[in-house]
Amino acid sequence: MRIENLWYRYSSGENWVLKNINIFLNDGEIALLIGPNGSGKTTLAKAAVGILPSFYGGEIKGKIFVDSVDVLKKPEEVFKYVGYVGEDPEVQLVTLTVRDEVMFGPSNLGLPLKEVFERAHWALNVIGSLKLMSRVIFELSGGEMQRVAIASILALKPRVLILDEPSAFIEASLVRKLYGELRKIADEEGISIILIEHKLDQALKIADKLIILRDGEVVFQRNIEELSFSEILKYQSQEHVREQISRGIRKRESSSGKAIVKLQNVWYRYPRSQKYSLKNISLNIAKGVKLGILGPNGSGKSTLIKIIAGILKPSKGYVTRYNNLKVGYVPQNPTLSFTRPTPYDEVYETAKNMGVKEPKAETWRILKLLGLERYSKKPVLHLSFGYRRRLSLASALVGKPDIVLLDEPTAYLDFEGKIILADILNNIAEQLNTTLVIASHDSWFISEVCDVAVLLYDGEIKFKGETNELLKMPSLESFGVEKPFNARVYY
Amino acid sequence: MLLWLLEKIRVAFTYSKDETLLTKAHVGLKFISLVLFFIAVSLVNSLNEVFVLTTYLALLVLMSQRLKLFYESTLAVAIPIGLLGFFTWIFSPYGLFTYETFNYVLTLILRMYVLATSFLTVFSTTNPTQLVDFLEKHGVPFTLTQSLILTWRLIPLVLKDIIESIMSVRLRRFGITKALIPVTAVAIERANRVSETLYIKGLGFKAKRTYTTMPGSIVYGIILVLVALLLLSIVLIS
Repeated sequence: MRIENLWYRYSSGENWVLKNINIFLNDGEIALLIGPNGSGKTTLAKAAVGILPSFYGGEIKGKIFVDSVDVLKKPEEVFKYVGYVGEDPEVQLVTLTVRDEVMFGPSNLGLPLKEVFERAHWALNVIGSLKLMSRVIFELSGGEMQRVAIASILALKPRVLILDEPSAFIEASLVRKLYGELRKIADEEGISIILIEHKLDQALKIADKLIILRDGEVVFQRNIEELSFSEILKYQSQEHVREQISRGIRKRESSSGKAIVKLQNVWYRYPRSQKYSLKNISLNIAKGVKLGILGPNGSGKSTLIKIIAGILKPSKGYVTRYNNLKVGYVPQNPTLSFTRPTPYDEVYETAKNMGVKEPKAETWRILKLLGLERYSKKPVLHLSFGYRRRLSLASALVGKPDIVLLDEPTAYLDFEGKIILADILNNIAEQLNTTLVIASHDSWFISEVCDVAVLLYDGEIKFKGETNELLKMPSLESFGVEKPFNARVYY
Repeated sequence: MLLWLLEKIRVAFTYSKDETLLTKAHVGLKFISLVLFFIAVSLVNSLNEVFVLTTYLALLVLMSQRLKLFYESTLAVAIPIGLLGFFTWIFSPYGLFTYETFNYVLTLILRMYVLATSFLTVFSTTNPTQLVDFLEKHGVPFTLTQSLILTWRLIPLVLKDIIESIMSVRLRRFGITKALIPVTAVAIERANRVSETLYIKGLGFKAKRTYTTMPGSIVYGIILVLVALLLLSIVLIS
C-alpha cells in the first residue's frame, strides 16, 4: 500500500484534517499507527477505505495505491483491496447470526457457496472464535462482537486490513492471542495491516513499523527494528508510565459505611437466551466506597451495572436501594445520555433539574473539573468519544448523586486519557464523597481508582474484597484478567 | 409503564434461534400464509369469524413449540390493543353499554390481537437472511431486501437504545420525551455506520450474491398456507 500526498478536509471545515500524508507499506507488513485522541487516525482509515469522501463529502487530494490500483478512483471496489474494522463493533454486524455475518462479505463477492463457507470457517478460526459460529448476534458480549466484526472483514481476504482499536473491548489475554493471529495472517497470507492502537505494549511486539500522527500530519515513520530500546520505550508510554505509577501503589482502606445498595441472590437472564448472565449475585455497596467490577468479556459486568442502576430488573432475587438514592449513570455509549446541543447546556440543564443551587457556577465547576471548559459551546456530536465520555460523567455528577455507575469507562481512551480519567474519578470521589461503581476489564484502571473490587466470571462472583487482595490472587489470570504492570512489579 | 412496554416490545421482536417446526418451515410459504391470513383478518366483521381465525394463531403457537413466544407477544401487544379498545368503546356511536358496542369493540380487539401476535410470532422465528435470500432468488432487488434486513436488525437495537436513554435521562430528572433527542442522534449515527459497513462489506458490488441459506421445509410451509387458505375461504363464503 502506498499513500501519496494525501490531504483531506470535511465539507464543514476550513482546516485540513489530514495534511500531506505519505505512508508506504510492504506486503505482509504491520504498521502501528498511533497518536493522541483527535489526531486524525480514524479519518485516515476512513479515507483509505473510501468512506471519506463518498459518505460525508469533503475534499480529498492525493493518491492511495493498493498494488497498482488507485483506490480513490474506484471507491466502489475498495472493499476488495482494503478491509476496515471500526471502533464500535455493534453497528458493524448487519445480520442476526454469526454464521450469516461472516458469510455476508464473501457472498457479496458472488463466490461459489463452498468457498463462502470455507472463508467464513477460516476467518473465524484465524481469530480463535470458531465456537461462536452458531451464536446469535444479540447474545454476544462486546468483545465477542469485535472478534466477529474482524472475522467478517477477514473473510473478504483484503490486501490491506485496517483495524481501529481492536483491543478496546477485549481483555489482554485475548488481545495477545489476536495479535499473534494477525502476525500469522500477515506472514502467511501477505496481508498488510495497519493497526490503530492506544495500548502499545502488545502491539509493538508484532509491528514492523511505527507511524505517529499528530494534528493530521505524519510526524514519525520508521521501522521498529531501526529503533533503539530507549526510543521504543519513549513511545511505549504505557509501560513507562505504569512503572512510575507502580511506586504510588498503596493499600487502601475499604469503607465500612452503611450499605446504600444491596443485592440479594440476584439472577438475570436475557430474554430469548438459554443461560443466565448473572448467577446468584449478593453484594452490599457501602456509602463512599469505590467499587470495581472486574472481569473478562461476557462475564456479566454491564448487566450487573444495569441491575444496580435499575435499568434491568433481576429475573430472580432482590435489589434494595436506600433513602431515595440519587444515581448517576454513565452508559457504555455516552451519546445516549445527551439531551442538549452543547456540553454547557447539557450540564446546566441537568443542574437545574436536580435542584442545584447556583447551577451556572456549578456547571462551570464541573466542566472545569472534567477538562471540558474549552469545548463548552461545541456541538456534542462533534466531540470525540473520549470527551463524550467526560461530558456524560459531568452530567451524571452535577446533581451530586449518592452513587455513580460507569460502564466500561476506558473504552476508546488512550493511556493519557485513562490517567486523566482515573485522576478525575479519584478527585471527585474525594471532593464530592460519591460512591463509585466501575465495570471494566482494565485491571490497571480498577487498581488505580477502586478500593474494593469484585471479580466476575461467567456471571458469578469469584472474589469480593480489597482491590489489592484481588490483584494478589495467584489464579487471577486464569479468570481472563491480566494483572496490571504495577501489580506485577509490586507483588 | 412505558419502559415495561418498550422492554416487552423489544423482547417480542428479538430473534429466537431455537430449531422448531416454525423456524424450519419454508420461509416464503410462511410469509405467504401470513399475507393470506392478513387478508382474511381484514375481511372479517363478526365475532364468530374472528374466533375461527384464532385457529391460525393456535397453529403458529403449536409449531413454534414455545408457549413463551406466545406469552411474550401477548404482553407486547396487550396494552396498545387494550387502549385502542378503550377509546373505541368511549367514542362508540352506538352508546356505551349496548350490545352493538360490545360486539364491535370485542371484534376489533380480537382482530388486532390475532393479527399482531401472529405477526410477532412469525417475525421472531424468521432469520432475515433466509427471507432475503429467498426474495432475491425470486427477483426482488437487493436494495429493497437489504433495507428489510437492516430494519430487522435495527428495531431491537433502537428499542434497546430508547430504554437505556430513557433511564439515563430520567435519572437526571429530565422528561421522558427528552430521551428522543439522543435516541434520534444515535439512531442516525447507527444508520450511517451500518450503511458504511454495508459498503465496506461490498454490498451491491455484484448483481447476484451467493445465497447461503436454504428456504426451509416445504411440508411445514404448505400446512401453514393451507390453513390460511381454508380460513380465508371460510371468511369469503360467510
